[in-house]
Amino acid sequence: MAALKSKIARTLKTVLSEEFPPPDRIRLIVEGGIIGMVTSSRFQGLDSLDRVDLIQKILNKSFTPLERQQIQIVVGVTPDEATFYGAVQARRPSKN
Amino acid sequence: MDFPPEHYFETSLERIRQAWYLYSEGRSYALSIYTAGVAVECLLRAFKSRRNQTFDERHDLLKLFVASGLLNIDRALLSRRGMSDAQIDRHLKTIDAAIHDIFRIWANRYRYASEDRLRSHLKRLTGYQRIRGDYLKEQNRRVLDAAQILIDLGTFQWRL
Repeated sequence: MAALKSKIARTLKTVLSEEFPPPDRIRLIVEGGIIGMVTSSRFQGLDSLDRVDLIQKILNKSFTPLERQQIQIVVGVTPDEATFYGAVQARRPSKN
Repeated sequence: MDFPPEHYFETSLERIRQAWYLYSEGRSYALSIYTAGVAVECLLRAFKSRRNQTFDERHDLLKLFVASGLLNIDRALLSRRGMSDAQIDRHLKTIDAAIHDIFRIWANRYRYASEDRLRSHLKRLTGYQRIRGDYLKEQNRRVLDAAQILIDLGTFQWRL
């Protein structure tokens, strides 16, 4: 299962990098499932449903339904939103 | 203070109710947005703690969302409950979009933000959208709508 997840993560990185070339950025976290974050100005002005549609079209082209289950979520954010998220994560986390 | 999964779940329902109250009160949009995010965080912690009691994710909603397993649902189980494939796809897509809405905008440190400060911040963050009336009030409504979708769908899955 771990090998399959690694393979899917590598493919996901490739697929997303092709669809969102630099200066867009792709970040993947493989933890339990695979989480992706795509930073692109293409998401500017798109509401969340449009972003989900765009990302799902890309994923459905490249992965089988079984492979898709390994990908928990891929979020699409604008550069400003990514900067905000990065700033939030850089702070020392508080205890529970 | 330990919080079992059921406590987190019940608190998520309490917090979303409180968030709507704050919105309707008319002077507490910043606190309402923060409380809506806390409702979602409670929901995700409820699902997560049913699987694993440790919380390495802190207030990182994206990681908490993944750890909750909210999207790891058994499609066959939903099918047996009478949902069609199209309905299941719509269910998961709605959750995905609601998570986008919350993730893009919410942060735990909003509990320190004044109304004016959060209004300015969200204007910058959301790209100065054309919004009639109070910008912060409208962003509050959007966050609440997304949080409510998540709470409603999460409640459905909690009881499966």
